[in-house]
Amino acid sequence: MARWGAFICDGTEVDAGSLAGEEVVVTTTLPPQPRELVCKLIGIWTRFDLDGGILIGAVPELVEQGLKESFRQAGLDPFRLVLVDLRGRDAVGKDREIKAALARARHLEPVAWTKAKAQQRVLIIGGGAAGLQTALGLRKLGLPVVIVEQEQNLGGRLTKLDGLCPWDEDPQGWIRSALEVLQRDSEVEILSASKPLALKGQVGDFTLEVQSPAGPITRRGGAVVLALGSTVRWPQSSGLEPGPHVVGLTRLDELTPIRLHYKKVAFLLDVDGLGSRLGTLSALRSALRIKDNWGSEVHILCRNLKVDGKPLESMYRKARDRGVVFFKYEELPRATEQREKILLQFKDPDLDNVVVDEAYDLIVLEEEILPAGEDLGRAWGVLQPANVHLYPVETNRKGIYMVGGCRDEMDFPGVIQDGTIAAGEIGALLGQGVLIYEEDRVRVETEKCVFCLTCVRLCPHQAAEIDLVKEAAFINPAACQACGMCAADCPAQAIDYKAYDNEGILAQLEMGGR
Amino acid sequence: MRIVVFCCENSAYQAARQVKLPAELDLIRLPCGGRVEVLHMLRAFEEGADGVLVLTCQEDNCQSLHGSARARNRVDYAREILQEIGMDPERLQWHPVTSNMGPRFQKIVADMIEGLKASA
Repeated sequence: MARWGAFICDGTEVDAGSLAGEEVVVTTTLPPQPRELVCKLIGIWTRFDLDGGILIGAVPELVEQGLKESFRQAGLDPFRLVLVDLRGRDAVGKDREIKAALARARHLEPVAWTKAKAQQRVLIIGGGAAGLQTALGLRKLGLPVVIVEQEQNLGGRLTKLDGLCPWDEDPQGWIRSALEVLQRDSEVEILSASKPLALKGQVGDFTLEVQSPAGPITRRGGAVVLALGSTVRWPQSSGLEPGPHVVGLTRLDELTPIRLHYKKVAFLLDVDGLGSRLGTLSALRSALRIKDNWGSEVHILCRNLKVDGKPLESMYRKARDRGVVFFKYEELPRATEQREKILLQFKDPDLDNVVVDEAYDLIVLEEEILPAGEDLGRAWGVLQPANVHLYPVETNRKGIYMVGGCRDEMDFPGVIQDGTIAAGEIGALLGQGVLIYEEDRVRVETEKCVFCLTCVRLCPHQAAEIDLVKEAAFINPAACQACGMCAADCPAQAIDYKAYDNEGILAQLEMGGR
Repeated sequence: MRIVVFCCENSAYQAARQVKLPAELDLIRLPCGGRVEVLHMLRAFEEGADGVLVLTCQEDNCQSLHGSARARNRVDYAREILQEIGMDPERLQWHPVTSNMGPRFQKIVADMIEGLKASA
């Protein structure tokens, strides 16, 4: 006979007598303060050696999470505590909720917990600013790192930007000092001119195969950070080709040595209608520097400026004060080459659509910024969709993170922020060197599995694996995020999800009906 | 009038807790919309439900990426079964509800009750 406890939060108008039954060995009222509530609950649970319990009251999500975590730390199974939230219910509704919870509770099975040793080393793929900042953050937390960079030198795109770098900060200086710190550190391994080949394993124990100049090598780590940066694409629809008078915004600084030729410069933004905040920021900063350094006449042509918030807005105003001229266009300007100049012809809707003809010595074209390394992410089953649950740096796979330009277009401060956040999250995950997870919450019954691989294909967290020895699917408990999709879709009904099994769900339906 | 609502605990279940609920409403809490099966929906009718709702996240905001979409597809499938056996498919509906959409949750339930009363 199972031993149950009924816990009623203070202030919940529930008659404790109605809960009395053979199985309920203790009924008690809990104080409203979360801390005291948890202490009393766990104290009584342990003293009466309960098999399970129901907690009745208003339990907001955060309290629920804290409660479950406390249970785990006390060595108890949080899935054996059924929460009954009565907010918004009248007397009849309360009764239904409690009955349904009791029905569900009777079907709960204990869930076993595992403490598994986890690798603490972190594998960072990409040695640009995002990767370096993640490494710095992780070293502060005491975790060793491996940085894999496919180029000879670390630093990524930032090292190639020169005097016209679009940020106030000194990114090259930042890169230099970051590298100084990291290169001196014996717990940092830098593999440059190396290409990641394959990734195996799951959170806590990944194995990365790397093609290094010395041949293929492998490294193990508990987490993986993808800091692959971004690439740019030339906007074909502009009708312009890179040449002596046309240059991409990200390559503008390469022209610094021959700057004196350009008396009149136009920035052409937003060509494909895909213009970005980063492009606007970069154009404004570059326009100001061209004004200061070259003394040229500068025009900025755009569909709409992407100014979000005060820093960009004030930069826009500053540019106007310094004499930068802004034009808007709806139809893409027509470009023709004319005696060492490029002639742009366009209509500005704010100027009553009068046709504007201007000849420029240099056109700076905003390229489209795209995340790099998408094929690598795809090969490893890693997605970073714009999803609130994963925002900002998590991915669909536990223990794999995406930072910087490969997840979203961002400026230097954004990249630094990303790296810091990822380091913090990984520190929380691997800091103790152990992973705690439910071992058998979602489990494949090997004898029922027909090896159809439905779960392997559909698992959004890449937790369903193939066990060739048993010829059955296997849900990796460390990687499983317990959504239950596999249990719902398994054609052979071979997957059992303990906390939300069919019996428990159907018992709730039966209870309400009678 | 019994309404059974299958809720994703990340969204619709949170929304439900912000508003007053009709007495004869049963909330079935699920870890993700993707956990709901056709069996569950049909069994709810078997157990006397007048209407069944499957309320999950917005499709782009599902913690399990495509759990919400799968729930919607299964509801579509179950509605075909209802049609085939001569039941009004409107008695089973899927809607996306985010965790801060208490009033929307309330409205979906109220609309369903009203629709059921009208067709009774």
